[in-house]
Amino acid sequence: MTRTRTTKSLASRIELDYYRRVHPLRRWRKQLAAAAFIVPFAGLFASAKFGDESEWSPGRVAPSHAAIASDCRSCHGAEGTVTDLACSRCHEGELHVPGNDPAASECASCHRDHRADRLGSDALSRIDDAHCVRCHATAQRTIAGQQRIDAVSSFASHPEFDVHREQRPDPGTIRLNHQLHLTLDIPGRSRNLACADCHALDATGKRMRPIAYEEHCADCHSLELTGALAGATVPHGLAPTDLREELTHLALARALRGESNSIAPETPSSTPPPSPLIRDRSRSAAAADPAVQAWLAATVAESEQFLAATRCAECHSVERSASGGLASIAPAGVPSSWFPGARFDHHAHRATACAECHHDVAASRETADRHLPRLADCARCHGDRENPRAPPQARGDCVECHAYHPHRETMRDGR
Amino acid sequence: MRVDRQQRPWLIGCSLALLLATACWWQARSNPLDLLTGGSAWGLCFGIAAAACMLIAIALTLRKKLSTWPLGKARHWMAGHVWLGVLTLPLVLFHGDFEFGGTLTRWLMALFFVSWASGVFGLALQHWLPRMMTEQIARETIYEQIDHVVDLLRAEARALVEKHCGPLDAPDGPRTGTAPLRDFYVAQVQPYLAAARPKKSPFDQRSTAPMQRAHLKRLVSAELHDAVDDLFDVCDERRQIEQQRRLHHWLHGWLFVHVPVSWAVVAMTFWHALRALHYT
Repeated sequence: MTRTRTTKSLASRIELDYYRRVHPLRRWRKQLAAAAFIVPFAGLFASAKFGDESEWSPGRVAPSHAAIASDCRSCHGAEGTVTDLACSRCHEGELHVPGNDPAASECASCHRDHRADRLGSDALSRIDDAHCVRCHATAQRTIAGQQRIDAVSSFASHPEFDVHREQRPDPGTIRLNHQLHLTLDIPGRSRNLACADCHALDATGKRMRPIAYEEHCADCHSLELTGALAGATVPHGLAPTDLREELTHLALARALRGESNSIAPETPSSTPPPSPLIRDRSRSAAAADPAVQAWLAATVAESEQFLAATRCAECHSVERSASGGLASIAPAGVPSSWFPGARFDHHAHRATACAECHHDVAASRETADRHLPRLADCARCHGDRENPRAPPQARGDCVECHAYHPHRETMRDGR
Repeated sequence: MRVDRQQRPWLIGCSLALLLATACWWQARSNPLDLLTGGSAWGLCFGIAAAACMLIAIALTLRKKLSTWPLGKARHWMAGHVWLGVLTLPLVLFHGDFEFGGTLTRWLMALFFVSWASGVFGLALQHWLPRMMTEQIARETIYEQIDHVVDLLRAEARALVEKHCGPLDAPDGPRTGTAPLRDFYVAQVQPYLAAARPKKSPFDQRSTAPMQRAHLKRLVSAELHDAVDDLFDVCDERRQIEQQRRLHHWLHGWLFVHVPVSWAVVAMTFWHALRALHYT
């Protein structure tokens, strides 16, 4: 082989000015890089200036904000930051402890949006316990000299409910024997009473409706009168003066209809006024007659005494005045909520039998008996879900039961 | 750039930085009061650190433009480009706590992944291909001069054949005894050298070329054997140069993805930071 390669021969075939000419590949790469920088830069500038700014959203907003998801300024304002003012246009809510935590006055310090993808659709309202225990974990405290708040740092360290710890009796004055009601054979019913016959959920499905006489008691505990007004009934819940007026009205009406002849003869007031005094006379004329007035007073007093001694006293504490004046009935005193600092959803717990949380109701005979759940009843299902070693549990974080904002109905119901 | 012992300081430094960042990320994500997002305090720190790494990495371009300026050695800039570029990925992931946010940030993350992955791919090629080129291409030339050198090879081959066989377009044909050489040149060598991207030729296969050469030598007289060797040497150089072109495209082709995508990432990062800080 005669063909030889020397450094000189190799160098001599290279054009000395080759480096002055940009190779097409290098030029294309530069042009591509310039375009790759300019196009997105200009596009994003146009988008920021004229386009839909929701494209810059760092994450999906909560479903409750879906209607304003594409309108960033409805929350962020012109300066970009979220202010309490923006929140208050749609939401009402007062501070937990006014003046206690200035940092907490910013809604967004607890309620952070754009996290539905990470934390779920309830990320806005599902506030982490750390926000609560920042204050509550440290020490027991008293708010405004009224409400004592115990130190608590987690569900595991939650103290027993006050109503049990302080052995508070049921403040209600209604004489109710649960055992009797649950075992009594009631004529006309194929079964005994059950819890749900009296305790029904309200429209929200979360709380129990108050017991109403007309709905729950009247079938068995009628307010039917006897004596001169036998067969007549009076409405439940009348004030003493209204009750007297109602009884007077009933007695006078009965006398004007001439039904007074049926009054039993053994009671003094049952002696009917002479017929000519009542019949064929106007109501006002009859009422003005002293003889009729005497009869009415006797009849009303007799009926009041009967009601107070039998009908009302069957369930209520009745206080009669020594001078024979109007009897007064103690207020029922049934709390509208046993746990005012917490919220509870009965409907969500419908798979659980009443007796699993409300213990010993079937054996209860006294009004003062408490049948409220204890913390241990909650802890059977609720607990610390962060512990991977623990069995599957229902949530046990603070906001599962407690609301930060004042206990308005809307807040308590979590709406 | 090769990742060798000279890179140990960078390796140690970046490893320590990664450990520190991981510890900070672990601490940040365990604070439920300030959920780790791009807009949280720690998230911003990670974002700023990642952006700084990006800027230093992209500054390599400026360093190349200002090659005469006293800005430090180019290999140090390249090492910084590589190591800080690698470190950017965990910082970016920590910045969003491994979440990719909304539409534009997802696009940004996707482009960043492409840029990062193409860079790592390119780094791997830089390790592998130069050695392969050294081993396989003894006749390497300057890439930009390949077409020019190929033209020279074409001319050299034609001159070689015409020297022994006479002009190719001579009306009375080749000289006596040189017809096999001339025919071989016209049928095999000329098309192979004339092709812009010669493929599927005997000269492309190192195993069959010696057989061709031996066969041709049997057909011509002994005084033409050197000419045959020279002709095959020209073809082998052409083969090596074509192989160099292919390897060069692999060695630098990834830059067609890495560089534009990186600039797009820089543009989007700028706007991402601007809008995110506005809404934070």
